[in-house]
Amino acid sequence: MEIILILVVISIIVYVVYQSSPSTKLNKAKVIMSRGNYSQAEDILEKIFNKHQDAPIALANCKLQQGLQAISKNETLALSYFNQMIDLEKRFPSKSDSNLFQQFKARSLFEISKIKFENALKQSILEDQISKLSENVHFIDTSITVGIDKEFSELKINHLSKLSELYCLIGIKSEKQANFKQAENLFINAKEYGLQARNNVAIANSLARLAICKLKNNEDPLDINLNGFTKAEDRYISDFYFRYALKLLHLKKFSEVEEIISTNLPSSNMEVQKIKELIHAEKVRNSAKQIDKINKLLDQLYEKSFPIDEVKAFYEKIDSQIEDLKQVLPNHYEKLKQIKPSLFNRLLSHSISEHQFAGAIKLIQKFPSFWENPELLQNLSICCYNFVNQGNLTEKNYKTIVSSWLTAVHSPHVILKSIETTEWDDDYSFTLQNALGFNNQLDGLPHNVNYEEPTETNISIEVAQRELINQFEALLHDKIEDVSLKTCSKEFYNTEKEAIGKISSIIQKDMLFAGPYFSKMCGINKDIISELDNDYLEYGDENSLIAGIPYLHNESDSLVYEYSSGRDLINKIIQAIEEEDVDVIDNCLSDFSILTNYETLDKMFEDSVFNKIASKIEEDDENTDLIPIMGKCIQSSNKNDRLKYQYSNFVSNYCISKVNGDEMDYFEALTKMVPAYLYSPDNPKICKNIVTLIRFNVMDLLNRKNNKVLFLELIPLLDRIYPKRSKTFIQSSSELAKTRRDLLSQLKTAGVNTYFIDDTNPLAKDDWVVQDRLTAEGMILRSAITQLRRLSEA
Amino acid sequence: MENPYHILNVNQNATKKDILKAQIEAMRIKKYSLQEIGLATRQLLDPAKRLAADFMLPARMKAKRPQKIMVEIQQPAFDIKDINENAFNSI
Repeated sequence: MEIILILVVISIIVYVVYQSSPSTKLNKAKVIMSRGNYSQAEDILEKIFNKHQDAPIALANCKLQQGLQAISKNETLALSYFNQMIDLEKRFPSKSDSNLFQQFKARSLFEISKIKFENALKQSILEDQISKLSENVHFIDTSITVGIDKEFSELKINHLSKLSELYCLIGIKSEKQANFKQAENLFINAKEYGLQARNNVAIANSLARLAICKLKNNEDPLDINLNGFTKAEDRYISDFYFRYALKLLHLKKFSEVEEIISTNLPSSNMEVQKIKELIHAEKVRNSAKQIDKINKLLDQLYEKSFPIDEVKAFYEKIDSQIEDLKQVLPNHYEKLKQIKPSLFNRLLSHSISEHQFAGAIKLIQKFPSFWENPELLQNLSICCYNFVNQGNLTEKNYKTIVSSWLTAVHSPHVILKSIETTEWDDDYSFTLQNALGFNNQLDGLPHNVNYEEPTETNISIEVAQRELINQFEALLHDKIEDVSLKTCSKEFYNTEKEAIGKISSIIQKDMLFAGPYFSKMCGINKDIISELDNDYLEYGDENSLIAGIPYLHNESDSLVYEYSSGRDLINKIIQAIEEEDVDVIDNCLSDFSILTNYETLDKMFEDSVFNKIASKIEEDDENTDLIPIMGKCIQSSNKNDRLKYQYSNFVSNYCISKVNGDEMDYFEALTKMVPAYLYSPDNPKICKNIVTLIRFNVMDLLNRKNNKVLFLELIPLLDRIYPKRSKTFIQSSSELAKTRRDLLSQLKTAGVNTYFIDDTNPLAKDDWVVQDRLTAEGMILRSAITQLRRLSEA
Repeated sequence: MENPYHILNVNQNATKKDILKAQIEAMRIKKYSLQEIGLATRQLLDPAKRLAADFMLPARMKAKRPQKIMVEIQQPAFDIKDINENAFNSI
């Protein structure tokens, strides 16, 4: 009994000691905290604050949690807990976890800042809100932020944005009271806070208000940098632009006002309409002044004393003047347009009468769409003719001059205009039959022009055109002293003339058949190419595309271009064959499909490659580098019979020459010749040579001791020939049949039983029957004899 | 090569008679050689060649004599001061 009592007492003592230990109390406090009973846990932790090293941090956590729990119910209590937590730092033991404590402290400071932010916004006076928020920004700036830097940063940005907004609001208050200077300063503050908060909308709104204030204060809004201002509220932007437009209107900057109105303000607004009307009235006033000046110049124009330089100055400005006036006074546009031709005629007549043909040519070329005007085209040709006659042709200008002349002479419209201007005392008529540049499609011919046979009274227009051409050709011959210029200008003349001749014989439409150079100079080559494309699509005649090639400039979407690219491709391939550049050939052949679209290109490819290869073979008939090149060309093209024939002849000649010179064995020669034969199985030369080589190879096979390797390589080669035997081959293959017969006869003479070697014997047909009766050598012999039979049978 | 109209000093509407008369006159003046005058005469008497000679005479582009332009100016019934500067007031 006593023992039991002693044990009980000891147990109680142990229990009490255990229960009163700091560790037990700390654990107990943590359990209590986890249940949310922070005040009880706080009591325990306070008691063991200095007795256990983890107790201070646990107490700090407990107070932080109490603060967080209290935020939604009692902000004052929450602030008290957070401050108590922070105060713990004063008695925080050095051996406790100070890093964790700093994190708890940062959290408490953050929560205090948040509460202060909310409280600041509850202030009824805007200025008080600004004051409280500014204080809190300072509080945040001086707080430690361990572990929650991002939250602090976001909270600060919220403060700055709010400050920007508040400064904007009090700025607007000042603006309403017309205290513009004060308002401007407040908007500057708002902008600065917006910049710190990186809040683009806040910045834009501050800038917009600042700019509006400046306008209201009669200052220049462009003093400030308005970058990013377009993100402001729409109503601010419209307000600014309207006030700014009004300011510019006062300054008579009409075009700027128009620009602002058209891009930034609603045209339906009545006040905007008023601005527009004022601007229009101003423009009309200015236009009237301009027209007044033009009227005075017109008066002078018909006084003979008007100096030509002034006519020229008037002419050079008239286009832009008309363009400006057209916008304001559209009703007067037609009358204004009539001025230019008169001025032009005056200038042109002056240049021609003064023999200033270079100036006259420039004048005509600058006239819009001058090529559509027969009179201008005729005058251009006259100037070109006289320009050459003066000996002014140079390497720089001969193309323009020659092409312009030819274009004009080939235009029936120009000739017809010329007929209209002459009165004939005889009753002549004129015929367009065979006229140059004539296409049988002219409408509205003069009464004295027809398409009948020329007679003494029905005058041939073609003869007149040829007369002009002869005169110009004589001029080119007589008036150019420089030999090089004479050569290139004549060559160019012939090329242009030929090109015009080709297109005028193809295109059945009334259009200007210009020289290629002229057409590109004027941008009318596109129309010509388009017509030639259409002609090809309708009739499939590739001559239409060929005729278009000289007219190409950048028309990469045309068929003429595609055709021309095909020709370029062929030239590139031929050049690559010349240089034996297999890589370039490979690259070119990858675009080969262009050529297969056009029959003449396909043919041109074969002919060009054939001729080039022939010339290369002529240079070196043992150039084996040509073999892969020829092979690539054959594989790419559909029209390749001549190339295949050329290939087979070349390979055959080469192999036979090498075999005869003991530089190549029979098997290698046959290996090279089989593909050549397969390309051109009807070529008698290769048939004859390949049959001979087959015979040599078979004999070689039978004469060798170790012939199994050759056998294994030769048979597949012969198997490739067998299904492709041509009539020509079969006709040449009697040699093989004879060899077979001789072989069998020799074997019999030597006493060999040839029954199972000759597969024509009834029991020797199947391999499985004979293989037990013949040795390996015997089987090879049998195969060779069988091949000779197969290849030579009809 | 000089234009035959210039050599014979006749206009585009010259009749055959005018041309023959002009030939005699040109020979009298002796500005051009007899060969040039003869060639010019033959050219103008040959209708196809005369057509070529016509082609080489400058043509005037069609142009009407420009007329004076009268502009009527109508002033709006209001002035810049009548525009409401607060039309888009945003505060």
